[in-house]
Amino acid sequence: MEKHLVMYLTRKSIMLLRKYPLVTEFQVSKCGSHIVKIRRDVLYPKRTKYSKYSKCRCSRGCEPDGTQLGFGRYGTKSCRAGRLSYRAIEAARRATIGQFHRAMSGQFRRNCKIWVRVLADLPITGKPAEVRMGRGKGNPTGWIARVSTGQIPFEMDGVSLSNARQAARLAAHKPCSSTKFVQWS
Amino acid sequence: MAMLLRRPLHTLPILPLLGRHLSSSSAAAEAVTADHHHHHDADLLSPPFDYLPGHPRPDAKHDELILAVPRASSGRHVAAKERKAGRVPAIVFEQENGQEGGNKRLVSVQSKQIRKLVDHLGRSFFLSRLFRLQVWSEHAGQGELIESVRVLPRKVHLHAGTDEPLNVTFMRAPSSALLKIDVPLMFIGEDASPGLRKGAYFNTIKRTVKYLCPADIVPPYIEVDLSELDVGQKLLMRDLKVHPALRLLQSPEQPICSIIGSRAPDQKKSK
Repeated sequence: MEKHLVMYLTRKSIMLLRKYPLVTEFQVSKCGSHIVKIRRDVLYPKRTKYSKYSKCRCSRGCEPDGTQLGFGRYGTKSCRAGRLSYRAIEAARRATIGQFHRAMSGQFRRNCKIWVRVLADLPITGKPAEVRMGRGKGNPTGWIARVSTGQIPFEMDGVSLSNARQAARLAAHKPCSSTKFVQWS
Repeated sequence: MAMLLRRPLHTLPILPLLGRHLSSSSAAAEAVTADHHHHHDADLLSPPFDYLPGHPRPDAKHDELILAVPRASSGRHVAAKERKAGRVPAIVFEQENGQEGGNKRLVSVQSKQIRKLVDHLGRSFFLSRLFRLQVWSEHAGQGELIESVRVLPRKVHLHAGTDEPLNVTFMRAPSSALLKIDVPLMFIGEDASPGLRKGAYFNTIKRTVKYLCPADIVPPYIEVDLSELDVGQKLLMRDLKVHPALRLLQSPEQPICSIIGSRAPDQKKSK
């Protein structure tokens, strides 16, 4: 069973790498020992301890984890606390990688790198249409990642400043949250 | 009132740390130059220190005078009032007598000035250079001059979302002080690197290096030359070109950057 899962992940990763020859890394320390599942090129946990959670507040205090650039030279910083859907994270990642592809044509640096520092591991629920109130919590419909003010969801390196700024601008349009471009200094 | 004045420099006691630093540095220099001893090397390891030619020195454009006023009390309500009035609550102390408070003084500095310095220099570069601080009894440099001293910004606390400075910690830096400084690295020569021209990946492992610096030769940054690096090579901390009076506080065998081959062809090859 586990070997099959590993083969499945490996094959999917190879397909991903063939489609996007860039290296993508995720910080999965928040996920603990959860097995990360890949379905239609999006990441979310395969199972969690409970299938329904309270959503709680997105702000975790005035100094959340991940407000400084730790991996790359450039990044995007969230100006507002909010939620990032797993589809929005994947769309922003693809927009960034697309800009990297455009930047790599003709450049001598051909190893761009992106770090996604948020993981959508919190399930959200919803009731179907035309269903009345009551009778308990709805069924899980998606996954979100809570992002605090000042948290850095994406980092990138190996690309020039103008291309990094353009990639950050393209990625900023995918999630419904305001971000700004930051660089290490 | 006379006690508030700064003590003359010649009456400052020589720190025991300086003696220990000199003895260890002299022993290291003796081991390195056992066969032939140079008088020039001995001058580099004893005060007065000066910047070596070819090494980076602080930019005179940002040599600013930081004006401060004394702050009577501390606490979050007083700090909030200071920030609302456009000032940053700060503290000035020295590493001598640290267990007794370090002769600390509560001050307030202009938020606009600190914000401009952090924005122009950068956060890491702001924490690795010295400034002249003057404490006056009134705002905007009026009234009576209480203290004028050279300081090192030890820590600056910025708001996570808006990058407004919330707190600044200064450490007095007389000429006899030895300061632990995270010196930022500046990588140059990326265009001329043969490894990067072949399409390899430049892996940055460390962006700052911690040194024990005499206060007169604090390097604003350290230049790392990449123009001779090929694929598979890496630079260690002992390869950095710094003043010999600076002592590395981390392991010399730690790498700071490396040039590694591309990962995607390896993945395809393994498949």
